[in-house]
Amino acid sequence: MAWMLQYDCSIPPNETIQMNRSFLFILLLLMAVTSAAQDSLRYITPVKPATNVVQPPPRGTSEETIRRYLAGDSAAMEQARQDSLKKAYFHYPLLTDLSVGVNFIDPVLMLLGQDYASVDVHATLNMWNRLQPTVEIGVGWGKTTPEDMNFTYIAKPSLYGKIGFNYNFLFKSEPRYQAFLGLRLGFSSFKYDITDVTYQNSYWNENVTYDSRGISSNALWGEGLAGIKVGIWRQWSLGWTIRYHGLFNYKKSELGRPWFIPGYGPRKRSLGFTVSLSYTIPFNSTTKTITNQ
Amino acid sequence: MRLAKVIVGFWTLALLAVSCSDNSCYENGSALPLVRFYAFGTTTQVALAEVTIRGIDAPGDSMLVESTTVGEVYLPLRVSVSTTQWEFEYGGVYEGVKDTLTLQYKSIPYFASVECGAMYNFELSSVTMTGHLADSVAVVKQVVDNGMDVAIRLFYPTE
Repeated sequence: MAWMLQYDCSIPPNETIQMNRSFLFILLLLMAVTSAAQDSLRYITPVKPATNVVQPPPRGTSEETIRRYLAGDSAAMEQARQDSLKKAYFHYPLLTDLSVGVNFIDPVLMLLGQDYASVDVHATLNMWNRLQPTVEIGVGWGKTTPEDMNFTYIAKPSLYGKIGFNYNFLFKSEPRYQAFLGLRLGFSSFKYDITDVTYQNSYWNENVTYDSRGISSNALWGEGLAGIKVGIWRQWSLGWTIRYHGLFNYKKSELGRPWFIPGYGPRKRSLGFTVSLSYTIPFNSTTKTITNQ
Repeated sequence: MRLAKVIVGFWTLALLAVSCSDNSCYENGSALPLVRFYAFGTTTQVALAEVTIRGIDAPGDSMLVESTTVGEVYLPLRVSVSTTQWEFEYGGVYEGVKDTLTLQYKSIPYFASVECGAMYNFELSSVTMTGHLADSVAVVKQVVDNGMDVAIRLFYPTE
Protein backbone atom coordinates (compact mmCIF):
# COMPACT_ATOMS: atom_id res chain seq x y z
CA MET A 1 0.00 0.00 0.00
CA ALA A 2 2.83 2.29 0.85
CA TRP A 3 4.47 1.45 -2.47
CA MET A 4 1.25 2.27 -4.29
CA LEU A 5 0.94 5.60 -2.54
CA GLN A 6 4.47 6.37 -3.33
CA TYR A 7 4.09 5.23 -6.90
CA ASP A 8 0.85 7.20 -7.34
CA CYS A 9 2.44 10.27 -5.97
CA SER A 10 5.37 10.05 -8.33
CA ILE A 11 3.26 9.91 -11.48
CA PRO A 12 2.21 13.10 -13.24
CA PRO A 13 -1.59 13.82 -13.26
CA ASN A 14 -2.14 13.35 -17.02
CA GLU A 15 -0.42 9.93 -16.95
CA THR A 16 -2.56 8.94 -13.94
CA ILE A 17 -5.76 9.53 -15.92
CA GLN A 18 -4.40 7.51 -18.86
CA MET A 19 -3.44 4.61 -16.56
CA ASN A 20 -6.87 4.66 -14.89
CA ARG A 21 -8.54 4.30 -18.33
CA SER A 22 -6.25 1.42 -19.28
CA PHE A 23 -6.91 -0.28 -15.94
CA LEU A 24 -10.68 0.04 -16.37
CA PHE A 25 -10.50 -1.32 -19.93
CA ILE A 26 -8.50 -4.38 -18.82
CA LEU A 27 -10.85 -4.92 -15.89
CA LEU A 28 -13.94 -4.85 -18.14
CA LEU A 29 -12.26 -7.17 -20.65
CA LEU A 30 -11.40 -9.65 -17.91
CA MET A 31 -14.96 -9.54 -16.55
CA ALA A 32 -16.40 -10.16 -20.02
CA VAL A 33 -14.07 -13.10 -20.69
CA THR A 34 -14.68 -14.76 -17.33
CA SER A 35 -18.42 -14.21 -17.62
CA ALA A 36 -18.49 -15.78 -21.08
CA ALA A 37 -16.36 -18.67 -19.81
CA GLN A 38 -18.76 -19.21 -16.90
CA ASP A 39 -21.78 -19.14 -19.22
CA SER A 40 -20.22 -21.56 -21.65
CA LEU A 41 -19.26 -23.81 -18.74
CA ARG A 42 -22.90 -23.93 -17.67
CA TYR A 43 -24.15 -25.00 -21.06
CA ILE A 44 -21.51 -27.43 -22.22
CA THR A 45 -21.71 -29.73 -19.21
CA PRO A 46 -25.42 -30.43 -18.70
CA VAL A 47 -26.12 -32.90 -15.93
CA LYS A 48 -29.24 -34.22 -14.30
CA PRO A 49 -29.78 -32.21 -11.13
CA ALA A 50 -30.62 -35.33 -9.16
CA THR A 51 -27.39 -37.05 -10.12
CA ASN A 52 -25.12 -34.05 -9.73
CA VAL A 53 -25.62 -33.89 -6.00
CA VAL A 54 -22.56 -35.17 -4.20
CA GLN A 55 -23.80 -37.36 -1.45
CA PRO A 56 -21.81 -38.47 1.58
CA PRO A 57 -19.67 -41.52 0.97
CA PRO A 58 -21.72 -44.69 1.19
CA ARG A 59 -21.19 -47.27 3.85
CA GLY A 60 -18.06 -49.28 3.46
CA THR A 61 -16.03 -46.39 2.07
CA SER A 62 -12.47 -46.53 3.34
CA GLU A 63 -11.31 -44.20 6.09
CA GLU A 64 -8.73 -42.72 3.77
CA THR A 65 -11.37 -41.75 1.20
CA ILE A 66 -13.58 -40.25 3.91
CA ARG A 67 -10.66 -38.28 5.29
CA ARG A 68 -9.77 -36.92 1.85
CA TYR A 69 -13.44 -36.21 1.19
CA LEU A 70 -13.75 -34.18 4.38
CA ALA A 71 -10.53 -32.38 3.53
CA GLY A 72 -12.12 -31.21 0.26
CA ASP A 73 -9.98 -33.40 -1.96
CA SER A 74 -11.51 -33.08 -5.45
CA ALA A 75 -10.57 -36.67 -6.41
CA ALA A 76 -12.24 -37.99 -3.27
CA MET A 77 -15.32 -35.90 -3.96
CA GLU A 78 -15.49 -37.25 -7.49
CA GLN A 79 -15.15 -40.76 -6.13
CA ALA A 80 -17.97 -40.05 -3.70
CA ARG A 81 -20.12 -38.73 -6.53
CA GLN A 82 -19.48 -41.87 -8.57
CA ASP A 83 -20.34 -44.01 -5.57
CA SER A 84 -23.55 -42.09 -4.97
CA LEU A 85 -24.52 -42.56 -8.60
CA LYS A 86 -23.85 -46.26 -8.30
CA LYS A 87 -25.99 -46.33 -5.22
CA ALA A 88 -28.80 -44.46 -6.97
CA TYR A 89 -28.95 -46.60 -10.13
CA PHE A 90 -28.88 -50.34 -9.80
CA HIS A 91 -27.85 -52.16 -12.90
CA TYR A 92 -29.10 -55.71 -12.79
CA PRO A 93 -27.14 -58.46 -14.48
CA LEU A 94 -28.13 -60.11 -17.74
CA LEU A 95 -29.62 -63.05 -15.87
CA THR A 96 -31.32 -61.41 -12.93
CA ASP A 97 -33.81 -64.08 -11.94
CA LEU A 98 -36.25 -66.71 -13.13
CA SER A 99 -39.92 -66.68 -12.13
CA VAL A 100 -42.20 -69.68 -12.41
CA GLY A 101 -45.87 -69.34 -11.66
CA VAL A 102 -49.40 -70.45 -12.23
CA ASN A 103 -52.33 -68.48 -13.58
CA PHE A 104 -55.21 -69.58 -11.41
CA ILE A 105 -58.05 -67.08 -11.77
CA ASP A 106 -60.23 -69.00 -14.23
CA PRO A 107 -60.90 -72.00 -11.94
CA VAL A 108 -61.93 -69.50 -9.24
CA LEU A 109 -64.29 -67.80 -11.67
CA MET A 110 -65.66 -71.20 -12.69
CA LEU A 111 -66.75 -71.69 -9.10
CA LEU A 112 -68.62 -68.39 -9.47
CA GLY A 113 -70.41 -69.53 -12.62
CA GLN A 114 -68.04 -69.01 -15.51
CA ASP A 115 -68.40 -71.71 -18.18
CA TYR A 116 -64.75 -72.10 -19.16
CA ALA A 117 -61.24 -72.01 -17.78
CA SER A 118 -57.65 -71.78 -18.91
CA VAL A 119 -54.92 -72.64 -16.44
CA ASP A 120 -51.28 -72.30 -17.28
CA VAL A 121 -47.84 -72.44 -15.80
CA HIS A 122 -45.40 -69.85 -16.98
CA ALA A 123 -41.70 -69.23 -16.78
CA THR A 124 -40.23 -65.75 -17.11
CA LEU A 125 -36.54 -65.02 -17.43
CA ASN A 126 -35.71 -61.57 -16.06
CA MET A 127 -32.89 -59.98 -18.06
CA TRP A 128 -31.39 -56.78 -16.67
CA ASN A 129 -34.69 -56.43 -14.79
CA ARG A 130 -36.07 -55.01 -18.04
CA LEU A 131 -36.61 -57.52 -20.80
CA GLN A 132 -38.42 -60.68 -19.80
CA PRO A 133 -38.87 -63.53 -22.28
CA THR A 134 -41.86 -65.62 -21.22
CA VAL A 135 -43.26 -69.05 -22.01
CA GLU A 136 -46.76 -70.08 -20.96
CA ILE A 137 -48.09 -73.62 -21.27
CA GLY A 138 -51.56 -74.52 -20.13
CA VAL A 139 -54.77 -76.39 -20.57
CA GLY A 140 -58.24 -75.02 -21.27
CA TRP A 141 -61.70 -76.53 -21.11
CA GLY A 142 -65.33 -75.51 -20.88
CA LYS A 143 -68.95 -76.52 -21.04
CA THR A 144 -72.06 -74.48 -21.60
CA THR A 145 -75.75 -75.05 -22.12
CA PRO A 146 -77.23 -71.58 -22.58
CA GLU A 147 -80.78 -70.99 -21.52
CA ASP A 148 -83.34 -70.95 -24.35
CA MET A 149 -80.82 -72.47 -26.73
CA ASN A 150 -80.82 -75.89 -28.36
CA PHE A 151 -77.36 -77.34 -27.65
CA THR A 152 -74.62 -78.19 -25.19
CA TYR A 153 -71.10 -77.15 -26.11
CA ILE A 154 -68.27 -79.16 -24.58
CA ALA A 155 -64.72 -77.90 -25.03
CA LYS A 156 -62.51 -80.88 -24.26
CA PRO A 157 -59.39 -80.23 -22.18
CA SER A 158 -56.75 -79.17 -24.66
CA LEU A 159 -53.26 -77.76 -24.49
CA TYR A 160 -52.16 -74.31 -25.50
CA GLY A 161 -48.89 -72.43 -25.53
CA LYS A 162 -47.78 -68.84 -25.64
CA ILE A 163 -44.42 -67.22 -26.12
CA GLY A 164 -43.54 -63.56 -25.81
CA PHE A 165 -41.88 -61.03 -23.59
CA ASN A 166 -42.53 -58.27 -21.09
CA TYR A 167 -40.77 -54.95 -20.72
CA ASN A 168 -40.52 -53.86 -17.09
CA PHE A 169 -40.77 -50.10 -16.69
CA LEU A 170 -39.63 -50.25 -13.05
CA PHE A 171 -36.23 -51.58 -14.01
CA LYS A 172 -34.51 -49.31 -11.48
CA SER A 173 -36.53 -50.78 -8.64
CA GLU A 174 -36.40 -54.14 -7.01
CA PRO A 175 -37.54 -57.04 -9.22
CA ARG A 176 -40.21 -57.77 -6.60
CA TYR A 177 -42.20 -54.80 -7.90
CA GLN A 178 -42.84 -54.54 -11.60
CA ALA A 179 -45.10 -52.68 -14.02
CA PHE A 180 -44.81 -53.98 -17.53
CA LEU A 181 -46.17 -54.14 -21.04
CA GLY A 182 -45.88 -57.32 -23.06
CA LEU A 183 -46.66 -59.21 -26.22
CA ARG A 184 -47.63 -62.85 -26.71
CA LEU A 185 -48.11 -65.22 -29.59
CA GLY A 186 -50.47 -68.07 -28.75
CA PHE A 187 -51.44 -71.34 -30.39
CA SER A 188 -53.82 -74.13 -29.52
CA SER A 189 -55.03 -77.27 -31.22
CA PHE A 190 -58.24 -78.49 -29.66
CA LYS A 191 -61.47 -80.47 -30.03
CA TYR A 192 -65.04 -79.85 -29.07
CA ASP A 193 -68.44 -81.55 -29.07
CA ILE A 194 -71.86 -80.13 -29.82
CA THR A 195 -74.40 -82.36 -28.16
CA ASP A 196 -78.12 -82.54 -27.40
CA VAL A 197 -78.97 -80.42 -30.42
CA THR A 198 -82.71 -80.16 -31.01
CA TYR A 199 -83.67 -78.83 -34.41
CA GLN A 200 -87.25 -77.80 -35.05
CA ASN A 201 -88.79 -76.81 -38.36
CA SER A 202 -92.33 -75.66 -37.70
CA TYR A 203 -93.38 -75.39 -41.34
CA TRP A 204 -92.40 -78.95 -42.23
CA ASN A 205 -93.22 -80.16 -38.74
CA GLU A 206 -89.79 -81.69 -38.21
CA ASN A 207 -88.07 -82.38 -34.89
CA VAL A 208 -84.56 -83.72 -35.17
CA THR A 209 -81.89 -84.29 -32.55
CA TYR A 210 -78.22 -84.84 -33.23
CA ASP A 211 -74.72 -84.76 -31.73
CA SER A 212 -71.55 -83.60 -33.43
CA ARG A 213 -68.54 -85.00 -31.61
CA GLY A 214 -64.81 -84.64 -31.96
CA ILE A 215 -64.81 -81.51 -34.09
CA SER A 216 -61.18 -80.45 -34.38
CA SER A 217 -59.87 -76.95 -34.76
CA ASN A 218 -56.83 -74.83 -34.09
CA ALA A 219 -56.14 -71.17 -33.58
CA LEU A 220 -53.25 -68.73 -33.74
CA TRP A 221 -53.54 -65.42 -31.97
CA GLY A 222 -51.66 -62.44 -30.60
CA GLU A 223 -51.96 -60.60 -27.30
CA GLY A 224 -50.88 -57.23 -26.02
CA LEU A 225 -50.89 -56.95 -22.26
CA ALA A 226 -50.30 -54.61 -19.37
CA GLY A 227 -49.53 -55.94 -15.94
CA ILE A 228 -48.13 -55.46 -12.50
CA LYS A 229 -46.27 -57.78 -10.15
CA VAL A 230 -46.06 -57.37 -6.40
CA GLY A 231 -43.93 -59.30 -3.97
CA ILE A 232 -46.07 -60.67 -1.16
CA TRP A 233 -43.81 -62.91 0.93
CA ARG A 234 -40.16 -63.80 0.51
CA GLN A 235 -39.78 -64.99 -3.10
CA TRP A 236 -43.52 -65.25 -3.70
CA SER A 237 -45.39 -62.64 -5.68
CA LEU A 238 -48.79 -61.97 -7.23
CA GLY A 239 -49.24 -60.70 -10.75
CA TRP A 240 -52.16 -59.24 -12.66
CA THR A 241 -52.41 -58.74 -16.39
CA ILE A 242 -55.07 -57.31 -18.66
CA ARG A 243 -54.85 -58.67 -22.16
CA TYR A 244 -56.23 -57.48 -25.47
CA HIS A 245 -56.09 -60.26 -27.99
CA GLY A 246 -57.05 -60.94 -31.57
CA LEU A 247 -57.14 -64.04 -33.74
CA PHE A 248 -54.72 -64.21 -36.63
CA ASN A 249 -56.34 -67.38 -37.92
CA TYR A 250 -58.53 -70.24 -36.80
CA LYS A 251 -59.76 -73.40 -38.46
CA LYS A 252 -63.41 -73.38 -39.43
CA SER A 253 -65.05 -76.74 -39.77
CA GLU A 254 -67.92 -77.73 -42.01
CA LEU A 255 -69.66 -78.57 -38.75
CA GLY A 256 -69.20 -75.20 -37.11
CA ARG A 257 -66.99 -72.58 -35.58
CA PRO A 258 -65.46 -72.94 -32.11
CA TRP A 259 -66.93 -70.98 -29.24
CA PHE A 260 -64.04 -71.43 -26.83
CA ILE A 261 -60.33 -71.47 -27.61
CA PRO A 262 -58.03 -72.76 -24.82
CA GLY A 263 -55.78 -69.96 -23.60
CA TYR A 264 -57.77 -67.36 -25.52
CA GLY A 265 -61.26 -67.67 -24.06
CA PRO A 266 -64.49 -67.18 -25.97
CA ARG A 267 -63.69 -66.58 -29.64
CA LYS A 268 -65.71 -63.37 -29.84
CA ARG A 269 -64.21 -61.79 -26.73
CA SER A 270 -61.22 -59.54 -27.21
CA LEU A 271 -60.35 -58.77 -23.58
CA GLY A 272 -59.13 -61.08 -20.89
CA PHE A 273 -57.22 -60.96 -17.66
CA THR A 274 -55.08 -63.22 -15.55
CA VAL A 275 -54.03 -63.44 -11.93
CA SER A 276 -50.96 -65.50 -11.19
CA LEU A 277 -48.92 -66.60 -8.23
CA SER A 278 -45.23 -66.95 -8.95
CA TYR A 279 -42.00 -67.91 -7.25
CA THR A 280 -38.79 -66.11 -8.15
CA ILE A 281 -35.42 -67.80 -8.18
CA PRO A 282 -32.65 -65.16 -8.11
CA PHE A 283 -29.54 -66.06 -10.08
CA ASN A 284 -27.24 -63.70 -8.19
CA SER A 285 -27.68 -62.10 -4.79
CA THR A 286 -25.43 -59.15 -5.62
CA THR A 287 -26.20 -56.59 -8.25
CA LYS A 288 -23.75 -54.99 -10.58
CA THR A 289 -23.71 -51.26 -10.82
CA ILE A 290 -23.23 -48.94 -13.70
CA THR A 291 -19.88 -47.56 -14.57
CA ASN A 292 -20.36 -43.86 -14.53
CA GLN A 293 -18.85 -42.14 -17.53
CA MET B 1 -51.55 -46.57 -0.94
CA ARG B 2 -50.50 -45.86 -4.51
CA LEU B 3 -50.01 -49.58 -5.12
CA ALA B 4 -53.44 -50.29 -3.69
CA LYS B 5 -54.97 -47.84 -6.15
CA VAL B 6 -53.21 -49.55 -9.04
CA ILE B 7 -54.47 -52.95 -7.93
CA VAL B 8 -58.04 -51.68 -7.51
CA GLY B 9 -57.81 -50.14 -10.99
CA PHE B 10 -56.66 -53.43 -12.44
CA TRP B 11 -59.50 -55.31 -10.87
CA THR B 12 -62.02 -52.77 -12.16
CA LEU B 13 -60.70 -53.12 -15.70
CA ALA B 14 -60.64 -56.89 -15.36
CA LEU B 15 -64.27 -56.98 -14.27
CA LEU B 16 -65.18 -54.75 -17.21
CA ALA B 17 -63.32 -57.11 -19.51
CA VAL B 18 -65.34 -60.06 -18.26
CA SER B 19 -68.69 -58.30 -18.23
CA CYS B 20 -68.41 -56.70 -21.67
CA SER B 21 -69.87 -59.43 -23.84
CA ASP B 22 -72.51 -59.27 -26.54
CA ASN B 23 -75.05 -62.08 -26.40
CA SER B 24 -77.00 -61.07 -29.50
CA CYS B 25 -77.34 -63.09 -32.68
CA TYR B 26 -77.08 -60.76 -35.64
CA GLU B 27 -77.85 -63.48 -38.16
CA ASN B 28 -80.72 -65.89 -38.61
CA GLY B 29 -81.37 -68.58 -36.05
CA SER B 30 -81.75 -71.09 -38.89
CA ALA B 31 -80.22 -71.62 -42.29
CA LEU B 32 -82.86 -70.53 -44.79
CA PRO B 33 -82.26 -69.92 -48.48
CA LEU B 34 -83.30 -66.40 -49.41
CA VAL B 35 -84.96 -66.33 -52.85
CA ARG B 36 -85.20 -62.95 -54.58
CA PHE B 37 -87.03 -62.08 -57.78
CA TYR B 38 -85.49 -60.20 -60.69
CA ALA B 39 -86.47 -58.94 -64.12
CA PHE B 40 -85.12 -61.31 -66.79
CA GLY B 41 -81.65 -60.42 -68.01
CA THR B 42 -81.13 -57.67 -65.46
CA THR B 43 -80.27 -57.20 -61.84
CA THR B 44 -83.42 -55.18 -61.29
CA GLN B 45 -85.44 -56.53 -58.42
CA VAL B 46 -89.15 -57.09 -59.05
CA ALA B 47 -92.13 -58.04 -56.89
CA LEU B 48 -94.58 -60.82 -57.65
CA ALA B 49 -98.19 -59.66 -57.21
CA GLU B 50 -100.72 -61.81 -55.41
CA VAL B 51 -98.50 -64.87 -55.37
CA THR B 52 -99.16 -67.92 -53.22
CA ILE B 53 -96.21 -70.10 -52.20
CA ARG B 54 -96.65 -73.51 -50.61
CA GLY B 55 -94.42 -76.47 -49.95
CA ILE B 56 -95.32 -79.61 -51.86
CA ASP B 57 -96.25 -82.34 -49.36
CA ALA B 58 -96.27 -79.82 -46.53
CA PRO B 59 -98.29 -80.92 -43.48
CA GLY B 60 -101.86 -79.67 -43.77
CA ASP B 61 -101.08 -78.21 -47.20
CA SER B 62 -100.13 -75.04 -45.38
CA MET B 63 -99.13 -71.96 -47.30
CA LEU B 64 -95.96 -70.00 -46.66
CA VAL B 65 -97.22 -66.94 -48.59
CA GLU B 66 -100.86 -66.41 -49.47
CA SER B 67 -101.92 -63.97 -52.21
CA THR B 68 -99.37 -61.43 -51.22
CA THR B 69 -97.04 -59.17 -53.17
CA VAL B 70 -93.47 -60.16 -52.36
CA GLY B 71 -90.03 -59.28 -53.69
CA GLU B 72 -88.16 -62.01 -51.80
CA VAL B 73 -88.93 -64.96 -49.58
CA TYR B 74 -87.10 -67.34 -47.22
CA LEU B 75 -87.90 -70.98 -48.10
CA PRO B 76 -87.32 -73.47 -45.24
CA LEU B 77 -85.87 -76.81 -46.35
CA ARG B 78 -86.56 -80.24 -44.91
CA VAL B 79 -83.66 -81.93 -43.16
CA SER B 80 -85.06 -85.47 -43.15
CA VAL B 81 -84.97 -85.71 -46.96
CA SER B 82 -82.65 -84.34 -49.62
CA THR B 83 -85.25 -82.70 -51.87
CA THR B 84 -87.76 -79.95 -51.18
CA GLN B 85 -90.24 -78.59 -53.71
CA TRP B 86 -92.10 -75.29 -53.61
CA GLU B 87 -95.09 -74.35 -55.71
CA PHE B 88 -95.54 -70.76 -56.88
CA GLU B 89 -99.15 -69.95 -57.84
CA TYR B 90 -99.48 -66.58 -59.50
CA GLY B 91 -102.44 -64.21 -59.28
CA GLY B 92 -103.82 -61.27 -61.21
CA VAL B 93 -103.52 -61.63 -64.99
CA TYR B 94 -101.54 -64.87 -64.48
CA GLU B 95 -104.16 -66.49 -62.31
CA GLY B 96 -104.00 -70.25 -62.54
CA VAL B 97 -100.39 -70.29 -63.73
CA LYS B 98 -98.06 -72.30 -61.48
CA ASP B 99 -94.32 -72.92 -61.32
CA THR B 100 -92.47 -75.49 -59.21
CA LEU B 101 -89.08 -74.81 -57.69
CA THR B 102 -87.12 -77.97 -56.87
CA LEU B 103 -84.07 -77.90 -54.60
CA GLN B 104 -81.76 -80.86 -54.08
CA TYR B 105 -79.20 -80.58 -51.33
CA LYS B 106 -77.23 -82.18 -48.55
CA SER B 107 -78.08 -81.29 -44.95
CA ILE B 108 -75.04 -80.59 -42.78
CA PRO B 109 -75.25 -80.15 -38.99
CA TYR B 110 -73.72 -76.80 -38.12
CA PHE B 111 -72.89 -74.91 -34.95
CA ALA B 112 -73.03 -71.21 -35.77
CA SER B 113 -72.32 -69.64 -32.38
CA VAL B 114 -73.44 -69.63 -28.78
CA GLU B 115 -75.72 -66.71 -29.59
CA CYS B 116 -77.32 -68.13 -32.76
CA GLY B 117 -77.29 -71.80 -31.79
CA ALA B 118 -76.96 -75.08 -33.64
CA MET B 119 -78.78 -75.73 -36.92
CA TYR B 120 -78.37 -77.32 -40.33
CA ASN B 121 -76.62 -75.86 -43.32
CA PHE B 122 -77.63 -76.96 -46.82
CA GLU B 123 -75.22 -77.60 -49.64
CA LEU B 124 -77.23 -77.13 -52.84
CA SER B 125 -76.54 -79.64 -55.60
CA SER B 126 -79.39 -78.80 -57.99
CA VAL B 127 -81.98 -76.06 -58.29
CA THR B 128 -84.56 -76.18 -61.10
CA MET B 129 -87.69 -74.18 -61.90
CA THR B 130 -90.47 -74.98 -64.33
CA GLY B 131 -90.86 -72.24 -66.92
CA HIS B 132 -94.58 -71.56 -67.06
CA LEU B 133 -94.09 -67.96 -66.02
CA ALA B 134 -90.57 -67.87 -64.54
CA ASP B 135 -87.80 -67.62 -67.06
CA SER B 136 -84.76 -68.98 -65.28
CA VAL B 137 -83.06 -69.60 -61.95
CA ALA B 138 -79.54 -68.89 -60.70
CA VAL B 139 -77.79 -70.15 -57.59
CA VAL B 140 -75.54 -67.48 -56.12
CA LYS B 141 -74.74 -69.18 -52.82
CA GLN B 142 -74.16 -72.90 -52.92
CA VAL B 143 -73.92 -73.48 -49.18
CA VAL B 144 -76.93 -72.00 -47.47
CA ASP B 145 -76.11 -70.87 -43.93
CA ASN B 146 -77.73 -68.52 -41.47
CA GLY B 147 -76.48 -65.43 -43.26
CA MET B 148 -78.90 -62.91 -44.68
CA ASP B 149 -77.59 -62.75 -48.23
CA VAL B 150 -79.43 -64.00 -51.31
CA ALA B 151 -78.95 -67.68 -52.21
CA ILE B 152 -81.17 -68.03 -55.27
CA ARG B 153 -82.31 -65.59 -57.96
CA LEU B 154 -85.51 -66.20 -59.90
CA PHE B 155 -85.87 -64.28 -63.16
CA TYR B 156 -89.23 -63.28 -64.61
CA PRO B 157 -90.10 -61.70 -67.98
CA THR B 158 -91.32 -58.13 -67.74
CA GLU B 159 -93.59 -56.31 -70.17
